[in-house]
Amino acid sequence: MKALSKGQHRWGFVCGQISVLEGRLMSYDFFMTLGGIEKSEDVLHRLQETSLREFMVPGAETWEDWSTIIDSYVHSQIDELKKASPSPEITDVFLLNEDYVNLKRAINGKNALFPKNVFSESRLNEIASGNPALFPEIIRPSISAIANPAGAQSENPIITDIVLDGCYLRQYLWLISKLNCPLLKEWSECRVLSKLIVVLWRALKAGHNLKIYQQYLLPLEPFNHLISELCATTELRSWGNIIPGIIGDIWRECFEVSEDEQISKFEQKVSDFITQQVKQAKLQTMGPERVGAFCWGLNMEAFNLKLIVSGKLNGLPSNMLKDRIRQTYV
Amino acid sequence: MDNALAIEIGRGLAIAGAGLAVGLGCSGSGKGIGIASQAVGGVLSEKPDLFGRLLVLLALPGTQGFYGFITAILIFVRSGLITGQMIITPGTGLALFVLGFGVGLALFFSAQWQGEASAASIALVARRPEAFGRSVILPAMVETYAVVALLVAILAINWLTASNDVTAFIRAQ
Repeated sequence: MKALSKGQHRWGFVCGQISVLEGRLMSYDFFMTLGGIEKSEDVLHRLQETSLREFMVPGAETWEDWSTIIDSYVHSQIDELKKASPSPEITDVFLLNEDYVNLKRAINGKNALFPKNVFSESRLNEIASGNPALFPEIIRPSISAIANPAGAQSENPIITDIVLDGCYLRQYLWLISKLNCPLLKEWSECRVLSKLIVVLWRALKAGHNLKIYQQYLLPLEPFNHLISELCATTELRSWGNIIPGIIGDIWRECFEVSEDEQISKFEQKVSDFITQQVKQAKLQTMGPERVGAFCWGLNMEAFNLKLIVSGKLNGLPSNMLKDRIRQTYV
Repeated sequence: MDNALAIEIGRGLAIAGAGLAVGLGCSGSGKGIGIASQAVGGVLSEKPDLFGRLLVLLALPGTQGFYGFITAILIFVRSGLITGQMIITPGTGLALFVLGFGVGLALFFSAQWQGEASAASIALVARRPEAFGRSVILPAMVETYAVVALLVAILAINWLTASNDVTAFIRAQ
């Protein structure tokens, strides 16, 4: 059990807000109930009794409509917490994925899809014209390699994706390291490691050459050596001997299930493990861990909501959905 | 030692002790309320209707400042500062100084910890307003030790400044 940071009184206001918001999070049992409801109309009706209601719009029927509703539900809460937080790093971590979608679109000369957060409008405009000078030092060299002048399409979209994945994870760890909290560091490293494994696992299954990943994902301290080892090992079963700690245990466990299920099971088990880990932050009255844990809980809630809504709209069986519901923060 | 000088030293030490008691007590209370008010502000931004209940929890760390004030006033009254007949031996003055400092420390730290306990109770009330009654007990437990410090201060000041001690000192001179 990692120690929680103490004496973080300046986080008192935002943690006070979180004390209220935690009471509005949906429980695991609630999601299991939703998963068991047969008709999609009934599920959507039940959702009107939750805090998602404020974001619902009349006539929302398609998956895209619901995805947008859930995204704005999560984004608005994290954005509100960011405004109340004494330092923005912990909330930026949870908004970073949207920023990277915007960044990728800017590199390809397209307009931003999500509200701007870490990368402002001016930064995205700069990158669209091939100039990454305004980007943080930690990702600038990698971004320079893929930035194209005047929004020209990148020559190799796979390499662009790999570089952006590497930059995203690097910036993710960098933001967390600025908070100097052991619990957040451990949790974020678990998350980054699992993301890396999934990226390489999918690449291997798709028949890609992992050397490209080694070249464009790195540097990614403290996983440089591990990634190099994984990229050099094309025999998937041998990965079990390379991946360390609890993530390695989960990987070995998931490798035994049917091949189609392996990656999704791995992602689910890792996320459940992290949720268990971050629940420790509930013991803290004030501090960045509490904010991070709540944002993680909110993300898990969004995942479960999207799973249930898409599953019900597509008529997937209840058992299949229930099996995939992730552990929740409350 | 010169009689006037001895009384001057005793008086100075007693006043310094009173200053420490009230200074540390009020600083602790200020910090404790500051800690709790951060949490209250956050909760009220989401649930303004909880103001009445949270005000009680917010005010709890403020009592230490009053205990320090009572200690200081008692030193002033019992030592004769208010009546203008302040005759304190150096030994009694030193004892009052140490007493004021000790009580001040107890008040200073208990107020801060009470602020932390209040913030935890505020988080509890934010999620479960019906648990307000139980939530008040948690920071009130911390209060016990501030009350103990105040009681000791009252008793010790009374004993130390009993009039026979002062007259005995004058007679000895």
